[in-house]
Amino acid sequence: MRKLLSVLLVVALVAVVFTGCKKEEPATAIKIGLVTDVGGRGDQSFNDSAMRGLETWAAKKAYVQGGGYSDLSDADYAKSLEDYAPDLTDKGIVAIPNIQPVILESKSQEDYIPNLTKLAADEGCTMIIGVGFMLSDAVYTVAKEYPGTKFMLIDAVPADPVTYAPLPDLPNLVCYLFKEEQCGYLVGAIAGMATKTNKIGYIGGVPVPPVNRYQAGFLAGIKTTNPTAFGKNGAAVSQVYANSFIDQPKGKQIAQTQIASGADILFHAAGATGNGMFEAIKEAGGPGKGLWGIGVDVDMGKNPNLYPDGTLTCAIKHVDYSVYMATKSIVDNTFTGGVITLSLLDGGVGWAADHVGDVLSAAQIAQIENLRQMIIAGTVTPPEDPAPAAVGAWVAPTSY
Amino acid sequence: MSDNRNIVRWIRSAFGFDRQSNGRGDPLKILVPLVSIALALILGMVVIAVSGRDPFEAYALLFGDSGLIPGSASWKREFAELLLKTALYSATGLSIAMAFKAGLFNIGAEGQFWVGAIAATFIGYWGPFAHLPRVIHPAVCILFAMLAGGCWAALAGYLKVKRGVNEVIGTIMLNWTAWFLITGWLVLGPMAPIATKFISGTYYIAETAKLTRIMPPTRLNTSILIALVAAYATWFLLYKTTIGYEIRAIGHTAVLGMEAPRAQGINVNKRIVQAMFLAGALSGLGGAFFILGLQFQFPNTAIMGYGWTGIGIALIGQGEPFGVILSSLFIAALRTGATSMQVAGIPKTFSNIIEGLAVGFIALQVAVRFYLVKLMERRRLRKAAPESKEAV
Repeated sequence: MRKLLSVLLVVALVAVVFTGCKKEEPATAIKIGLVTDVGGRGDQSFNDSAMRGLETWAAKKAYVQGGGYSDLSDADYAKSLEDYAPDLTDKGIVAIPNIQPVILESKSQEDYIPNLTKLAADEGCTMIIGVGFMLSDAVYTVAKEYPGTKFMLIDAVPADPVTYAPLPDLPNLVCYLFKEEQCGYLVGAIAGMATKTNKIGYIGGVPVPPVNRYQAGFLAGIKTTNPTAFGKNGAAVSQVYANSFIDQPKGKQIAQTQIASGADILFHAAGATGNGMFEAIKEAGGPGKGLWGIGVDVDMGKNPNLYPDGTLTCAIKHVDYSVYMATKSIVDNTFTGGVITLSLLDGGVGWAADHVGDVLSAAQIAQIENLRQMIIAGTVTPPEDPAPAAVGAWVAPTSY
Repeated sequence: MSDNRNIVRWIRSAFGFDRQSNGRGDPLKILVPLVSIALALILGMVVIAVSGRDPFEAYALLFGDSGLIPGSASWKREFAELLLKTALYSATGLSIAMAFKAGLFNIGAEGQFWVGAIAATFIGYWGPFAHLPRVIHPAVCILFAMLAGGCWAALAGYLKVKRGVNEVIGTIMLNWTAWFLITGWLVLGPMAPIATKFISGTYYIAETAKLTRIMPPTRLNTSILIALVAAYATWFLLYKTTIGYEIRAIGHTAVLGMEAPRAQGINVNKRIVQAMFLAGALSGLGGAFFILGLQFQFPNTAIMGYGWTGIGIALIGQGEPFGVILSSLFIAALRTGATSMQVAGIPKTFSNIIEGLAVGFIALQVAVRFYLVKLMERRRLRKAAPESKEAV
C-alpha cells in the first residue's frame, strides 16, 4: 500500500512536470470567449441566458454536465427557441456555422481580468463577452490592452473613475444595455391588476443600475394600474434589497416576511437570490392561497427547477438574443464599437404569458398589450430612477 | 551578512528547527502538511479519473498554468496573478496564525478584512488625503486599514476578557455587523457618488493611492513584498520580543486556563486584546491589498471569503508565518491554474476539491502525524534491531 502510494506520487509529479501540450482545435473555427460573473453557470437566470445565446443559439452545441460539448439535435434547438424566444420568431435565429464557444467562469472578482486576458492572449478568441455589470472595469481595461480583439459587455457602459461619466467608445468594444424599466413596467402593471390584497412586494439583489431600472419600471407599472397598491411615492409597495445576487436563503426570508405582512404578488430582480422567493411562495401555498411570483431576466415559468405553477409572469430581458446578435455581427462583419440599447421595440425585453391568462381577464390583458404599444410608440416613458420622489413625480397614463 | 543569517534562522524557526522557538526540532511540522497535500493530490487524481477525465492532463493544465513553472508564453502573466493571490491570502492566513499562537480562533478575519478594505477605500479617495505623494498615500491607506481591522478584532478580544464572550462568537457577530454596516449602508449611502447611472459601489481611490506595479505589463504590485515583510514582522514579533513570548505562553496553556503565565506575572487580558489587535491588523492589510491593488473601489457586488480561505491556509501552514506564505502560494497556484482547466472542459470546481482535500487531511493531522511517527519508529527499530539482538 505504502509502496503503491509513493509510486503514484512520483508518477503524478513527473507527469506534472513533463506534460504541457494542449489539443489544437481546427483553425477554421471562430472562437468566441465568454467570461461569466461570479454567479456562473447554473444561476437559472442572467449568466445562463448569456450562455444560451452563445452555446445553444449561435454554436448549436449542448453543454455536457461537468465540461465539454456535444452537438445539439435540430429538435432540441427548436425547443430551446420555442421555450425561451417565443417572442423572437421574426428575428430569424439560426445556428451560425463554425462557432466555438470558450467559457470561463469566475470564482471571485479578481478573476475577471486574468480570465479575459487568457481568452484574448492564449486562446486567440475573435470576440470576448463579459457578462454583467460587475465586469465593466475589467472588460474596459482588457479591451484597451488588446485592440485587435473584439469585446462585448452586457449591462454596463464603462465609466470614468473620477467624473463617473461614460468613457469614450472603443472601436473594439460594444456595450449592450437594456430598457429594463419597460419590461419592469409591464409586469408591474400586471401585478397591480392581479393583487387582491393591494400589497405587492419587490425583492432587489444589489442596487446596481440595471436592477434600479427594473425597480423604477415596476413601481411605475403598479402606479398606473393600481394607485392604491402604489400608495404615496410607492410607500405601499414593500421594497427590500438582499444586497446579494447569490443569497437564496436571504431571498426566501425576505419573501416570507412580505407574505406575512399581506403581500400576494412578489417580483424579484435578484438573480439566484430570487430563487428563494419562489421557494417561499411554494411553501406558503402558492396560487391556492392567491400568492404569485414574478420572475426576472428569463421565462422562469418554463424552468421546472423553480416553481412554474406559481409563476404569474416574467420580466424578460433577452441577454441570450444580444449575445446571439453580437456573435452574428462578427460573422457578418458588421461589428461596430459603441453602445446598443435594446428595448420593447426590437424585442430586447418583454413579458412572458405564463399564468397571466388565469388571473387577468381578456380585457385586462388587452390593456397590458395597449400599454406595450404605447411604450413602443413613445407615448409612455417609464422612469429609470426608483427613488420615491422620482417615481412619485412620474405621471402615469390614466384610465387603467 | 547578518541579514543572511537572519533569513536562515527565520526559515529554521518557521519550521520549528530553531532551538529558541520550540525547544527542539520537529520535522513533522514540514512533513505533515507535505504528506497531506500529496494525499490530497493523489485523491484528487482519483476523483478526476472517476469522472471520466484524464487526471494527468488535468494536473498538467492546472500546474502548467499556475504560474509555478516558468517557460510558457503566458507564464509571466500567470506568475503575476499567482503572487497577487498569494499576497491576498497570506494576509488573512497570517492573521489567523497569529491568533492561533495566542490560543485564539479568529474566525472573524473575514469581517476584519472588510473593515480594512473600507478604511483603505476611504483614505484612498477622501479629499484631505487625496493629494499625498505616490508612495506615502498607499502607506497611509495601509496604516489606517490595519488600524481599523485591528480595532475591529480588539473589540472581540475586549469582549472576551471583560465579559467572557468566547472569541469565536464575538468575531462571528462582528463579521455580520461589518457586513451590514458596509454593504447595507456605507457602500450605498455616505461613500457612494451621487451619479449612479453608470457605476455602483463607492468612489474610486485616487491614482496616487494605488499600489505601485513592479512587473509591467502585468498587474503585479508591491503587495507581495509587503506580505513578505508582514510575515517576517509576525515571526519577529512572536519569537524575538517579550510580547510574542508572552502571547505564545498564553497560547500553549490556553486549554489549561492560562494559570502558568498568570502566575508568572503576565498580564493575560492585555496580551489577549493585543494579540487580537495584531491579528485584525493583518486581516485589514489584506483588505488594503484588495482595494489598493485590485479593485480601486469597494464594489457593492463584492464577493469575499478571503477570511475563510485564511483559516485553511493557516492550518496548512501549521500556524507558522513562513508556512503561511508557502501554503498561500499553494492555494494561489491551485486557483490560478483552475482557469486553464476550464478551457479543457474540466470544471473549475476540481481545484476546489483538491483544496478541500488538503485542508481535510490537515484537519486529520493527528492521524497523519500518528502514522508518520509510527513509520519513523518502525524504521528506527529496524535499524536498531541488529544491535539490540546483540545486546540480548
